[in-house]
Amino acid sequence: MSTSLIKTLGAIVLVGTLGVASCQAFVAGPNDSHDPLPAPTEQRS
Amino acid sequence: MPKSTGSRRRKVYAGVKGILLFALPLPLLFKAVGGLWGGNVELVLASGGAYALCLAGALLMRKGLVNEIEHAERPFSRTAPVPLKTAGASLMGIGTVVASHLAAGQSLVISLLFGIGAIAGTFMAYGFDPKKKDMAAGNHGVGRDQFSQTLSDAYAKIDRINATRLRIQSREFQERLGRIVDGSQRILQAIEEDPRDLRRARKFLHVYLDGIGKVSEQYVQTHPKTQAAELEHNYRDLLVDMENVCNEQHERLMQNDVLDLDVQIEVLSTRLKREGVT
Repeated sequence: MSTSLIKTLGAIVLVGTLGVASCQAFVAGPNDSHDPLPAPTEQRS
Repeated sequence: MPKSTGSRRRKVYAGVKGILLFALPLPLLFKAVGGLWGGNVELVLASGGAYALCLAGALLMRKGLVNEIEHAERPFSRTAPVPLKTAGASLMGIGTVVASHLAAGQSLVISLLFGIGAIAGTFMAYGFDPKKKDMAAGNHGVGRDQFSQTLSDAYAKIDRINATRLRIQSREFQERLGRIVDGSQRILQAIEEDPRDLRRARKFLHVYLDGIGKVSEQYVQTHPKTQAAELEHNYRDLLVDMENVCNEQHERLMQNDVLDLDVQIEVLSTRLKREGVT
């Protein structure tokens, strides 16, 4: 496997891991950052 | 051209090459700023911490890339290269885990997989740290350790001369010393390519590099106190002689001819003794 191909694959893996993780963190709401999900509210009939 | 511009070029090249590592974690910075704006301490710590780790990793990786280029140019300049790229990749991995687990809310297992992927991707994209060059110099009458140590010392002397060069005010002397630094480095590269040249260039490495370094240091210390024209004249003559010796040494190494050079060396040696250096 050529060096340039490995470098390109590495860049893709980096985007797929670090890039995705940071974007997920960016779009996550304030409650997503490891807080338990709020209990569903009961609906009154 | 003096090597000081080469160093700047290396940094620019490494900076451009490692730009991805600085760009990818930027959403974490924006998120941390947003958390700060909204008064969410947990968000600031998670996103800001992850960004800080990634930034530190990217800076280490960039420094490692500069070191790698220098190591390729001067493989014996350092006896043990610092594993900056490994440290940088590790920090990128930890930063990714923190970003994924604490800032994005992913499970720990998934976050660890992200971290391992980031480390692997960093190594694949930017490579591993250079290893200490293994060279069979012992086949040419010089031990490998001795060979490596001698070249490492010589590179250190050249670095000191280059540092002294930058403290000299005269542009002419700076340029002359720059040419001497470049010439000396060419000689060391010739020795690296053919270890047999070490024996031939030993006097150059031990006497002349030391001599020009000490004289230049003394010149820098003395020049602000006294503006003697004779001092300038003598120093200029010495630099001219040293430039000639560098060029001739390199040519002789190329031709594997020692005899004529020894005569030149004796002439300059006498001059250095007269200047009170040796």
